[in-house]
Amino acid sequence: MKSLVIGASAGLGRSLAERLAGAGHDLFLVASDKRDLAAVAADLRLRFNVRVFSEAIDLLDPEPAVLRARVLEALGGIENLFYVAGQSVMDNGPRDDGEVKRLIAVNFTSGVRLVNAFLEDLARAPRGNLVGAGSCASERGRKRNSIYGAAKGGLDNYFAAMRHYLVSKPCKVQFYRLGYLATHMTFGQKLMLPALEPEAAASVIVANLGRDLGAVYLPKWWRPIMTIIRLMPWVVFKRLNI
Amino acid sequence: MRRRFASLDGHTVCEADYDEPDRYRDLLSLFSHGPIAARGAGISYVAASFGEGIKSVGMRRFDRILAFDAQARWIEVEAGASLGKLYDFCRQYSLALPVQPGHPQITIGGCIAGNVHGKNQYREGLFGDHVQQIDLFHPARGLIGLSREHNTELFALTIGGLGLTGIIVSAKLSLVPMAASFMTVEHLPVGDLDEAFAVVAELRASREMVYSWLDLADLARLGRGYVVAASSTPNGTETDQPLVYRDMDPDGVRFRLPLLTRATLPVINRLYRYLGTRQAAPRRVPRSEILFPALGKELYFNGYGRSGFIELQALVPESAAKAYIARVVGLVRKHARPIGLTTLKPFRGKSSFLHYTGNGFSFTIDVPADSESMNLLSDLDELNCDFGAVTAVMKDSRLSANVARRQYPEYALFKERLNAFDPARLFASALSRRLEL
Repeated sequence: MKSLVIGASAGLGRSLAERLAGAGHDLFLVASDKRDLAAVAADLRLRFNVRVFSEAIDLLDPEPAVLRARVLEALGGIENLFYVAGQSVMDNGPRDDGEVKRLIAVNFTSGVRLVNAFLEDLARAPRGNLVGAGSCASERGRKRNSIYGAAKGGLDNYFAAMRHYLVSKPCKVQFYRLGYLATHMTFGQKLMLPALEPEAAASVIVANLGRDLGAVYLPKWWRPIMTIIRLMPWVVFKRLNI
Repeated sequence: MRRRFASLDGHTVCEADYDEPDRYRDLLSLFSHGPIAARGAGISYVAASFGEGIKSVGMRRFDRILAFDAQARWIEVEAGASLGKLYDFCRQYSLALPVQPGHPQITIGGCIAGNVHGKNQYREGLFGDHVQQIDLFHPARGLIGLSREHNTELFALTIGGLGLTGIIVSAKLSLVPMAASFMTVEHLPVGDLDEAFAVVAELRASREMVYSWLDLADLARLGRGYVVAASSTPNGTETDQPLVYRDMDPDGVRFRLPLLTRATLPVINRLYRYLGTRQAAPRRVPRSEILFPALGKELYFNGYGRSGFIELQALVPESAAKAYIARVVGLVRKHARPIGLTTLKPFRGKSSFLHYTGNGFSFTIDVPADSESMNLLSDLDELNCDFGAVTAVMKDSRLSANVARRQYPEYALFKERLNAFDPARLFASALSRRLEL
């Protein structure tokens, strides 16, 4: 299998890359930091004896066509695309415009642009998978995570559309609404619920390849919680400081 | 974030700040107003990676293999890589790290900072002897490359430097051929300490690994036990399985039951000795079983009760060994403390700074960390000073600065070099503070 992992240098992306390499996938890894990527790629190449390529790009404004050309040249095709990049800040009111732009790009628009570039390649793949990582935060807009939540909500919607688009193709679409992950993004925060180790999340995602899942919660127990949040009357919700 | 830290022996516990970067840009932009301590697996006997008012920086996310050359026999890894990960990787190429301390969870950064020893110090030396290069990060100096040709003084100071020169980011290490993934091991019964010293001395040159387990809990039969002698033999039909183990987590241990006491230890040790010596004939066992004897025995470390235990490890000069044994036996009888573990290993080498090495025997005991045991340990400190023995600073959670100063001729030089490199002394730990470094 030939897989592209976008957001591969740390957290879920790094764990996913390791699981995929362990399953024998040739990999093309994308992230913003060249040094992290080089370390991950070297480790996977040596330990799993698979081909691993990498490219450092800034997801603020990627060049999808250039990346596509490099991936196809390196791997000779693509069967799986994982867009698991993400960036979050706890906001509560206006933020610096540059930061807003970056949050929207990393969590939404760059995801759309990059998936769009590879869409026809994935549609042609006999056993393709398009996998995205969203967030429970997108379930209902709230003041303390407004930009991130909105952007991930947009990505969620786009993946739902891609599932619809690819319905007659072998390519399967899976979108994970992630709860808390034990990464540097949540490190040191007082979380209301336990955080899932990225290694555990990656195991679930790799095991689900080939399944027509649509959007699911990971871990699953977030589903009833988010259902309550979604259905909560405004008169109650507005009093919550979340 | 604030979190609880505890040393493996349970003797030092405190709350302090902790960060755990997972990207180079976060690690290399690290900034702190106060002192910092790098942290690997967090299973050191002593508080080498934390302390009151000190920010610990966890390196567990930096655990990747960066480069490897099977022909030239070297491997380059990040500091958070564990011995277990490298053992599993290298054995595919019939290679191994020459020196490996007792548990596969221990990280490379910890091995370098502690300049640790393994089960074959007499033949292979210390971990630092096999380090070719180090990438060290100091917030005021940036990333510094160290080797035996480049920044040599800082290289020497960082190996066995207790993490006081900066954060070890990665290292290039020499490998040695691993003749076989199984070893032939013999457990040779010994009747007392004198016999144990004699057998260890006799076998140290001919066997690949030699160490012993002895019983000092049973005062009626003091020093009974066995010597473990192991050598590689060509592979048979057996296949060594990948290492599987549960990580130890001293920080998370809330209750330490007093299971190893004066009443129970003689019985437990007698049973342990029986199990260890019942099979007289040599047997073949996976190399990992010899290399990592603590594997599967993790509960032992929590068995001494609320205050934990102290491990005193002293390197006794060979010429003084016989007289030393007689004095130790006298002190053990006098204090009658429940000694849970006693080991003996042959050593060879020349010490510098606070490195635990020299020509002689490494003699180790574990005792509960109570006031009565402290009296025994104080007497042993004096005995060690009298006999020119040195105490391992990476093992003993109560060793005082005064005793370390008396035992290590280069104590002052080590401190002077640290101050010269980093006058602000940004890196510290509860260990370095206790030793007044």
